[in-house]
Amino acid sequence: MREKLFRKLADLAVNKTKMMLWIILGVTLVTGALTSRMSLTPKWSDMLPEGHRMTVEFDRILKEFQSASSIIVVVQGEEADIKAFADDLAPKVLKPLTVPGKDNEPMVYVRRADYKTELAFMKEHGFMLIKEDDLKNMKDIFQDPGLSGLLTNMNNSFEKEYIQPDESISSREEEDGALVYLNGINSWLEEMERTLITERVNEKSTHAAVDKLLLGEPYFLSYDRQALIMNLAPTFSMMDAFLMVDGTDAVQAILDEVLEDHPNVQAGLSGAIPLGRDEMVYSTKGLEISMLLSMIAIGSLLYIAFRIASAPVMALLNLILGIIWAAGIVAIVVPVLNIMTAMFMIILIGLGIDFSIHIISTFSEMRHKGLALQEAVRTGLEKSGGGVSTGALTTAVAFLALMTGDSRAMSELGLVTAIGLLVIMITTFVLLPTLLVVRERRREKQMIKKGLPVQEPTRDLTLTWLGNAGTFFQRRPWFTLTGVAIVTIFMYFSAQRITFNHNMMDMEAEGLPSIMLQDTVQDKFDLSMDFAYLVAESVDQSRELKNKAKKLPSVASVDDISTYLPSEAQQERRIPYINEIRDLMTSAKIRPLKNRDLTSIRSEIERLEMNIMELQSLAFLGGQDKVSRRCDEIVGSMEELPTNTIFLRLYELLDTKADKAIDILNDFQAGYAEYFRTSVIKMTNTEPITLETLPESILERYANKDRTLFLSTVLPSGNIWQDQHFMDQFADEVGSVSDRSTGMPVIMKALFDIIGRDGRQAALLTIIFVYVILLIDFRSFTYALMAMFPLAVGAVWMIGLMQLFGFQLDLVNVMALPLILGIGIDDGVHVVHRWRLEGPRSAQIVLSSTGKAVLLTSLTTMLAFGSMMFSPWRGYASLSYALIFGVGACFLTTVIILPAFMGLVGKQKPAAVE
Amino acid sequence: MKHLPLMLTLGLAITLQASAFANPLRPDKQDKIAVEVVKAVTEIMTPDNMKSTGTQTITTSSGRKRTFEFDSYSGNKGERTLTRYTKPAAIRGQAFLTLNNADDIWTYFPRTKRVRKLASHAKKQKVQGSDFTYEDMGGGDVFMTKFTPKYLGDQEKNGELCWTIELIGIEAEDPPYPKIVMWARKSDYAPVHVDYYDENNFNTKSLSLTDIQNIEGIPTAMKMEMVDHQERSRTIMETLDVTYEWEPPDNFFSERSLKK
Repeated sequence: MREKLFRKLADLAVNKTKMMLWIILGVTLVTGALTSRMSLTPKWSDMLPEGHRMTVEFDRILKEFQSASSIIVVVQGEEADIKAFADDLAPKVLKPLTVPGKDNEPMVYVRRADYKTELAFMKEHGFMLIKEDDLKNMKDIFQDPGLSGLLTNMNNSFEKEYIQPDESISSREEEDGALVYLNGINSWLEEMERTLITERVNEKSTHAAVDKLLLGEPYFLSYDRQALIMNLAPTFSMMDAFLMVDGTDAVQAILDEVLEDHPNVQAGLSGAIPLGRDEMVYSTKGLEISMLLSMIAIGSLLYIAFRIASAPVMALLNLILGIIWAAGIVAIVVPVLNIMTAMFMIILIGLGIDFSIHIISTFSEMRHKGLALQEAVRTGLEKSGGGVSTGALTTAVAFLALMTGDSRAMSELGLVTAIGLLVIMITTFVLLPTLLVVRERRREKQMIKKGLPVQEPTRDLTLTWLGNAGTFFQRRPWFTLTGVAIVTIFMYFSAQRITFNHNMMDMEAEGLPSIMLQDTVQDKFDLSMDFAYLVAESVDQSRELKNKAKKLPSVASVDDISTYLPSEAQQERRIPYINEIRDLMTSAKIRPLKNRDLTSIRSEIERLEMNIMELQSLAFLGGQDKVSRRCDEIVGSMEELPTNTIFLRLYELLDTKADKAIDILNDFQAGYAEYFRTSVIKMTNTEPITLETLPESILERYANKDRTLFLSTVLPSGNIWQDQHFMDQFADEVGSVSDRSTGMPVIMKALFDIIGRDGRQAALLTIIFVYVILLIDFRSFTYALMAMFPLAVGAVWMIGLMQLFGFQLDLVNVMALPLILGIGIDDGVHVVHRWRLEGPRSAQIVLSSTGKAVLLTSLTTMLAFGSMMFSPWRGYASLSYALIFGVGACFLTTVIILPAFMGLVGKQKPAAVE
Repeated sequence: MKHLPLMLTLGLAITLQASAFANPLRPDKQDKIAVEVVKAVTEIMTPDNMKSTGTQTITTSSGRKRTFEFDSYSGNKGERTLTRYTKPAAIRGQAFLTLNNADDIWTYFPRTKRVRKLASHAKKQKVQGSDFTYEDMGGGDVFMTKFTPKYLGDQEKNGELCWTIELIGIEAEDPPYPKIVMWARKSDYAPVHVDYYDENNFNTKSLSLTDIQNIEGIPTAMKMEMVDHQERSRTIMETLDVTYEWEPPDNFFSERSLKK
């Protein structure tokens, strides 16, 4: 039946050429129009199974909480410079922005720029947000805002640190608290120094120093104060792929513009949106580069192989049209491609070109043997069509086996590639013979015009050396198979040692600012940007989830609305202490300083220095690096005598200006003390904090529009990419708090698990399906097995070679394992098909003819996949290497093992072969 | 004090089921063995006096390793201890004195030349960035007084055939941990591994004792590694030199010695 169909198609191509061309053009136009429906998603969560709870939850978070789709500006430089840059950028980024290189109307891409704490809210409600224990501890500081009293009370409080519960700086949170306190004291002392130097009070900076002492640093600064983070809330979410690209580009443009006015500052974009944009842009760019390179490389190879200028043109035209048809149909079935499914076009180039090669190869061979056009087309289709259709079918079935997997990464890739392959197979049987007829007729006309003979000169187009090699293996079957067995055992042990790279950052394009800045944020802020999300339906539930998550070993901290909204009971418990502080501050008298106070002020400053030194020693012993380093900056290194610390400078100023020091300090006291008192009294506001009284900027960060859902961000205590066990632990532990947990670490863990399981399942099914198809095709258990055997050995060689060359498996190239089962089987199928046609001990003819086509198809497939090596997105490059090893290994095992089988079967069962 | 007293506090809970161990003995016999093992371990871990030199390697909050060297003294079966750091130079001379089984803790800062008292609750806190608490480092017969021991059977641990003893904290005695599981060598009762559990039966910390040498008749672990499973950190304490034949001079465990 198949032969009949091939003959019919050959006849149509020869006798109804024009009609065929019109039909092909029509189908191409329709499918071409359909491809416009296709789009790309950069979200890794879109690779999870359809309706997977993590994908649903992640999409819901992106939809409900605009804070989840953030653009982070990372600014680096000196403290004053980066603060000035942020102040300059913030208003500009909120204005309508234009996208460079586009004529679009300016548009507002950013709703809000957060780079400072909620100072106004903290000034109003600061004490209500502090725990009772801490209020109890700190109340002594607020007995006397005067210089002498404040210093004494600060020292008392410092020394009390050692004897109060919950005041150790053993955890990160407490270490951060100690840093805030140290920074506040340092700023206040520096303000005192500035006043002593200038002998006048600067009200603005004095008040800022008091704010810092009471409320901490307002800017989002790193621990070393050399970096700043600005969080931009976009007007769109990650779901809007096009806005994601335009928005990031527009923000980048304004950032570059502002940077020109701040030469000492460096700044770049990171966060979910810029990362998504980069993934999309670079993976698309990678695919475009790969497609172009593979077309050029394959075309050149075909020209060299066939020595016919039009051969690559016909093969590539057939391929391009096939891909257009395939893309049009795929656009209906899977309109949104993910990072993995987007690769289907490259796979189609690598595999689809093979069909043309086989047909052109046999057709040319027939023409050079002197067959007439119609006969050559018929014979070409008959001799190669069987192998092509079986090969296409087995490969398509292998890809369809991927559909049994749960993950969309695998199932959708399987579906679209299988559809694509079958469509290209159809174009190869419909279009290619027509193109060959058109080419031959044109050539004949030209020959007649030139008075040259129409008949192709008889030429041997076979690859003799490959045939010779086949004969060599055929004559020494046991020697060959023993050699193969030894190599395979070696490769098997090598394959056993291959490791898995879980670091998804190694998949991204190298040197991407959005990725590199993630590392900067991790280093400078000790903050991982790969966090998990929890969603609560009330503030109380959010608080409960936070308390549970905070106790998890793998969790560094949890950020949620309850930080700004303590429970009613908590607020109630805090009120007595707050009232006490208010009473103390209200009744405190700010006494003017007298000369005799200078000695006590000096000794309290010395006491403060000693307290910080002791904190420094304990922090060093306790391994609290951040506190220890900050203390080094304030009181000098522990190993050397300090030479230029704030304390030494103050002592010198107090000595050199001894005669007027008390007057200056009185001015300083007058400048800050009253502001300190009024600020503290303002902070003692005991009005209950409710959801309704929270400022919009806080609500937007943690709550959805209806204020019915609340988002918690759970930060891991380590780098999830450097330690797979840690990523698993973090994902599992966060999952134990809420079954609605999601976010990058949780999604990636699920993806690793699901793809691993899908891969194993798909590989097993592929083997079964392919065997069944081969059984139907060959109607022989032995031949079906023999066609599959080189593939099995090739798969082992592939992993063994990857390990030997220092490659690791990863989430993307692990797909090569099921893929190679579908791709590699073709070599065996074609060789066994031809072997059965040519008869026993036919290695010479089979390998020199079909072997040549198999070599060519392997080379073209390797070139197509190899072109992905140049993709800036390293995920594609890693897959490219794996497939090159796989295709190369399958070719070698086919041309070595099958001739050895021919030698064995030919000797023992010649009848079976016939 | 070296590290022995910390053995005393090995309190732990455990997820291991008693049935998981081959233990055909009658309950009263089991209790007898448990008490006997705990008593023997306590004796090993609380020698009358001890003087040693050792190193302590911690992981800092930014993930770096930091090693300290110290001289350590303990008296009255670990009830009093004095630890003085000798290296690195940054903290040379800094010393900690614990009395009354770490109920009272003082520290001396050579740079400011001040002695400061830490609160008694501090004994539950970690010692200088290590994964040991002051209480772990304290001496006495905590195992015997604050826990009810239970013999779980024999098991091989770290390549040694061991008694496996479960210690359940006696609530009224304010035990340092709700539960401890300890493995002690059958040959000489030297503990080789200890797992500490919290109230949720979660194995929070594990202590491994290796390179056990017979020093003056007492099996002594020259290397101890405490892993905090929650903080994902580990502390290694190595003994460079140790003697049990040291007699503390009068008033050795005092503020004056602390400043020396």
